[in-house]
This record gives sequence, structure tokens and C-alpha cells, in this order.
Amino acid sequence: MPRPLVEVSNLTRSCNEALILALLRVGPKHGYQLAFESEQRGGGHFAFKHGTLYPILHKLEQEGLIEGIWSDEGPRGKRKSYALTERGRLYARQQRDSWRALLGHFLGIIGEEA
Amino acid sequence: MDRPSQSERLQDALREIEERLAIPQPARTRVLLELHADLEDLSRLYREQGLPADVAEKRALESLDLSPAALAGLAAVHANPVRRVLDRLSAQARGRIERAALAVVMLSAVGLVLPLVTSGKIFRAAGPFLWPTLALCLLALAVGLIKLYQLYVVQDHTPRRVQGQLHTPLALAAVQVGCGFAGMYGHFFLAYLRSRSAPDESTVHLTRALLGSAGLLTIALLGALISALIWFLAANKAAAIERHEAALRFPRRDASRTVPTAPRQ
Repeated sequence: MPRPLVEVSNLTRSCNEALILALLRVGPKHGYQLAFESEQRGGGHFAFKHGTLYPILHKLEQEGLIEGIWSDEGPRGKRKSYALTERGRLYARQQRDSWRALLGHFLGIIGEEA
Repeated sequence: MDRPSQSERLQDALREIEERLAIPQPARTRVLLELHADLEDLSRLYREQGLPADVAEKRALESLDLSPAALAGLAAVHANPVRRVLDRLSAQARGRIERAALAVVMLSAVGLVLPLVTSGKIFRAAGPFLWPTLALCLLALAVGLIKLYQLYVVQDHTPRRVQGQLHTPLALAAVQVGCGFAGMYGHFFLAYLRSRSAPDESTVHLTRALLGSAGLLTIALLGALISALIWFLAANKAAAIERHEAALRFPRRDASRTVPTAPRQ
């Protein structure tokens, strides 16, 4: 069964997934970079704790939306980075459209003045 | 008191995570490797931003914050598919499914083997190696049934009684299987000796050895299965008794107002 693009009943999870997929659009990143960038670019509103980040990353990896790539960096040891798969890129685009539609409706409601 | 060095602090944090992380291998090691690498890199990033090394590492560790809920999330992602399905079921439903599965296994085993056993053919085919295997099976049955009688009927729950001879049926089940395989070897060795003295009849001897081995192994495995099931029932009951004892002696803080009830018979 296909996953819903944005789950209104679980907005936090949908929001976190959308952030991760969006940050990976520009290229592969390590887990800590995703957390760091999300915090920096979100003006502190989207500060990921690693505890929240890794289960989401690993789930997206299992679903084939992102791909975990291990690289051996000599004395620094092994490092894992994540990249969007083709399916993930398509999913991210559709998810972005769903977010736009959802936020449009939401703002339409809360923006109405009596 | 000495302050832990940077690497020691990281190692301590990862050791603590490793102890709390309920993920099967090799995923467990991979998760730890990833966390370790990211912690190092994040700490380096903070240093590059001008934070002192000590503060940078502390801040990286703070950002890790693997709460019990996060660890449970990781464990859920990495659990095998069967485990994930079972986790979605309530404890009650799981108990029912486990009991039903056990009953199906027992009934299937009995249904498949009973006609063979009652016809007596299997015993005749099994040859002389049958007797030690049967003796072990009967011994395991006797020990196991006495144990079940103690636990379920007499309800003698003194620790020595509960644990005494608890695992003997399982050990005897393993010996039965070993005996079955040794007998199989014996059948083939005899067939070899007979074929050497009468090469023309080697096919007959080999066929007899195959039939004998099949019969013997069936009896040995069936005996082992029954012994293991008896052990399973006894071990579960013993564990329930011990859990009940522990709950009485060391009540949980959140369940302190709940008086534990006696284990189900």
C-alpha cells in the first residue's frame, strides 16, 4: 500500500521526513550534517535531536527512498552518508506539492477573519 | 576526581547506548559505527565554529539524546518482519497465537507419526539401535512428567525444587538426536560390512540401511520433540513462578499499588 505523502495525524513525522528529503536534494549528506543544516536553515525551529533523526533515516533507507553509502576515510574510519534515490526524488517532489496544498488550506482557514 | 578525556567520554556514551540498544547484529554494530562517526564529525564542526574542544564534544553528545522512545524507534525499524508483526499484536493475542502454533505443531507431529508407530513397521525397521534411543526417550518422558507433576499438581515452588532437573529433558532430547545419528552411522557401517562379504546383495543392504536409518531417525526426532515440548512447558512454568516471586520481593515503583496475582495454572 503506498504511503500517504503527508499524514495530518502525524505532522511531526511527515515534517521531519520532508525536511530530510529536501536537504538531500542537493547531494549526499551525513546524518549529523542533516541535523545541523536543518537547525541552521530553519532558524532553530527544526532542531533535530539525533535520537529523532536516525530512526527516520533508517526507515527511509529501508523504504528505498534514500540510500545509505558507507565510505572508508582512512584514519578517520568509516563514515555513512545518505543520498536520494530516484524513487525518493520523485516522492520528495510529490510530498512538497502535498505540503503546499495542505498549508494553503490551513492558511485559508486560519487567515479568515470573522 | 579526574575528568574523562574526550575519547573516553565518547566511548562511555557509546557503551551506554550499546547496552540499551535492542537491535540484532549486524545492524547493531552498523548503527554504533554511524553514531560514533557522526559524533566525532559534529564535535569537529563545533570546534571549527570556535568552541573549545571540551565544550564541542559535550554539545555533540547533548545533541545525540537517544531517549528510550528514540531507541525503541530504532529497534522497531531494525526488527525482523516477523517481530514487527508480533509487536503490533497485543500480549494477549500473541499468547493465543503462540499456544495455537504449539498445538498445531504437536497435533501435526502426532498425526503424521502415529500411523507409522501403531503399525509397528517403523520399530522393526529401526533395528537394534532402536532400544537405546527408546530408553533415552522414556527416561526424558519420566523426568519431564515428574517435573510437570511437581510444578503444576503438587505446586512445590521452593527454589531448589523449581530449578532441579528442569533442563534434563532438553539435554536428553539432544542425546536422543545424537543417538539417532549414531545409529544411522551404524546402519550404514553394517551395510558396508555385509556388502563386502556379499557384493551382489549390496543394493539390498543399502536399501535396508536407508530404511533402518529413516525409521530410527524418525523415532529419535519424535522423542526429542516430545521431550523438548515437555521441557518448554516446565521451563515456562518455572519462569512464571520466578517472575511472581520477584514481583513479590521487588515490586516496581509504578506498580507498587498492584498486588501481584498468582501465576496462571
